[in-house]
Amino acid sequence: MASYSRRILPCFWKTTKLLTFEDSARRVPCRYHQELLPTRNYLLPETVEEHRKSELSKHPELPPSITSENVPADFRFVYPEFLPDPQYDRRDSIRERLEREDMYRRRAVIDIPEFYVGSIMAVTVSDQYSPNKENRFVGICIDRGGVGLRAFFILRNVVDGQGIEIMYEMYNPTLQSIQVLKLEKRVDDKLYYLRDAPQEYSTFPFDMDPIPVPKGSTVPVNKMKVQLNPRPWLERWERQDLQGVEDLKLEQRFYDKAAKVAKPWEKYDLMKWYRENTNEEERDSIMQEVHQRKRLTDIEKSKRKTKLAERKR
Amino acid sequence: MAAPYGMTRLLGSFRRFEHALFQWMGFYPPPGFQAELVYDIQPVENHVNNQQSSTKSILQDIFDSILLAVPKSRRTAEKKRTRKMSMKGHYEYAIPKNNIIACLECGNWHEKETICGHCYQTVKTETEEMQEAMGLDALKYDAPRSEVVFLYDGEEQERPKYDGKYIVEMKKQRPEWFSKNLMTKAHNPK
Amino acid sequence: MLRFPYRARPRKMSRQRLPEEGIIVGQEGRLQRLRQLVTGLVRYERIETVYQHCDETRGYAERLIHTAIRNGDQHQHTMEMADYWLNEKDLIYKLFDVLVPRYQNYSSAFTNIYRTPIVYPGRGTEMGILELKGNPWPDVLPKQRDNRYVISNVLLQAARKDYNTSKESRKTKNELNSSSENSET
Repeated sequence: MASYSRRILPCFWKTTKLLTFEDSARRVPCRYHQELLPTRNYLLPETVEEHRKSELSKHPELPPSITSENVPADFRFVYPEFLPDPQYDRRDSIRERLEREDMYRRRAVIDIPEFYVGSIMAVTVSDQYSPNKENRFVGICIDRGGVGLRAFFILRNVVDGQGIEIMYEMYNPTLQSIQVLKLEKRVDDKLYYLRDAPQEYSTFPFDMDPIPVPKGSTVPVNKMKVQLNPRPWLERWERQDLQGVEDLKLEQRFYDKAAKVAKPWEKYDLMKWYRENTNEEERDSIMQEVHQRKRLTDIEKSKRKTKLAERKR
Repeated sequence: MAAPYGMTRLLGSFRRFEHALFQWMGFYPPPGFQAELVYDIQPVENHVNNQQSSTKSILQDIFDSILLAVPKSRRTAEKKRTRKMSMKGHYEYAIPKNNIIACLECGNWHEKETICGHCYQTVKTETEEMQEAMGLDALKYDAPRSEVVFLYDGEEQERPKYDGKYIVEMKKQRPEWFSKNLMTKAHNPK
Repeated sequence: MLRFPYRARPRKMSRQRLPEEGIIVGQEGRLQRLRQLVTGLVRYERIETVYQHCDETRGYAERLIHTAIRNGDQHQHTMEMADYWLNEKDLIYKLFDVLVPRYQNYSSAFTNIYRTPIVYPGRGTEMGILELKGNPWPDVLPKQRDNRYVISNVLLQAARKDYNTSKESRKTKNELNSSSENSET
């Protein structure tokens, strides 16, 4: 008898697909039969892999001398869009590989710097209706997300007393340049509460000078506490565990209701976090690949620089 | 509240009886009493349909909870048949089980996907004896901070091999089916 | 990474009747029940309960041990998890002193799960056994006998060998024939 049960109970009233060890990286939702999916013009990756005759090859130009040992531990925070989609139902191994190729190619052309939520950035987008065909916006990054080529970030600023937020897709070819004026982190993952804060907290001058950060230093964490405007708010901030917000000074009934509605057991739910996030081995292998390709692009860029310098002479 | 009229009449009559009883016993003042009342009691004689009454009798409390949950519409014949004739609770018991096999060790029957109950019973009795030998303290209240090893009769010479482990002595012969090799750590098990 | 098949979605397991806390409804009740089962598993190293509950605890127990192995006992998050999942605090020592060294170099899952026969008459509840590998108790499954020398297997092996050798000889014959044909044409 096998050491673990691979057998699926014959359930007539419920259908759940129990996944095997080999394809535990890919999961099928409980509701769908194996037979239903082909009618939706969908091929499972397992089916494709069965018929594959040759391995998915690596990038042909990658020289064997470039190894990816000593990948920095925080690589996955600098390049989070390379990590696979947490929702496993949406995953496709070939699409992910092709997307990553496109992302490397884009990164070879434009410099997408390291930034975090709370950094102040300047983005230039090509705009056909402006006089110099460009449009520059400066703002604080309040959110960052997306997977693959759909990676985005949202910049917020106040222009002429009007709060403005713009969502930029990082790999959009109309994006001409992304410049980080002030690299720093905030205490929260998302800064949507700035919408309910006085405008001073979201105002940044368009002609702000970039503040250089020495290479190799840790990213500074801005622990400032924002004072919010009085209620009504766009969200129930007292129910969210916000670190970067001053004492909300609400009546006790709000805090009581928040405590009643809270789910303190969720942070201990190990399987929930495991199902929602990618596993470590996959993450490590992808970051190794990113590290290798980054080194390649860095080498090419330095070659280009030396060529330009020679030409100038 | 969707209470049928007959039920409300019954409740009303019961409440009137209760009120009269309490009046006789001295809990409530007589109806003509004009002094300041501690309790705000509405006269029950005025309305039979006393839905707005603040006093709630015990019976009404019981009936309230039952009357709230009521089917909204008639269950159709199709739905009724679907539930009745579904696999669960009906057909599943009629399907013969073709997955019953005999255990290779003892010959008792069990389903293919389960373990043999008879063989496991011997394992279970042995495990319980081992747990008894281990002692209630070590088992339930203060788990040992090293691997637990059981030494049966005639295995004293292996004691130095398990140096540093929590050794429990079993005062009986090792059963034949309980292999000694299982005591060592399994390296790269499958 | 979990090295056994696990369900894509968690089982609801709401409305649990717990001996001390009473009836707790919802996800909180589910986690309380799983806590008890994980504590029991770490203490007794083999538990018998509803098979579906065994399957649920399997993931949690393995994740807990995996976190402990990866981060060690000085990691704050790991200690918080161990403190939550192990109701009896002497088991925290057991986790780091006994289980972590035991499973350090495992390339497979740390637990085994079995189904026990349904007891008739009764409610027909499917029960299961969940155990930690390397436990001191006797094996749940009887040791598989070596049937290499059972007569039917001996004959089958001989037949298999004959077939393979004949297949090879047939293959070489075909190659020779085809090469001779080619040379002729």
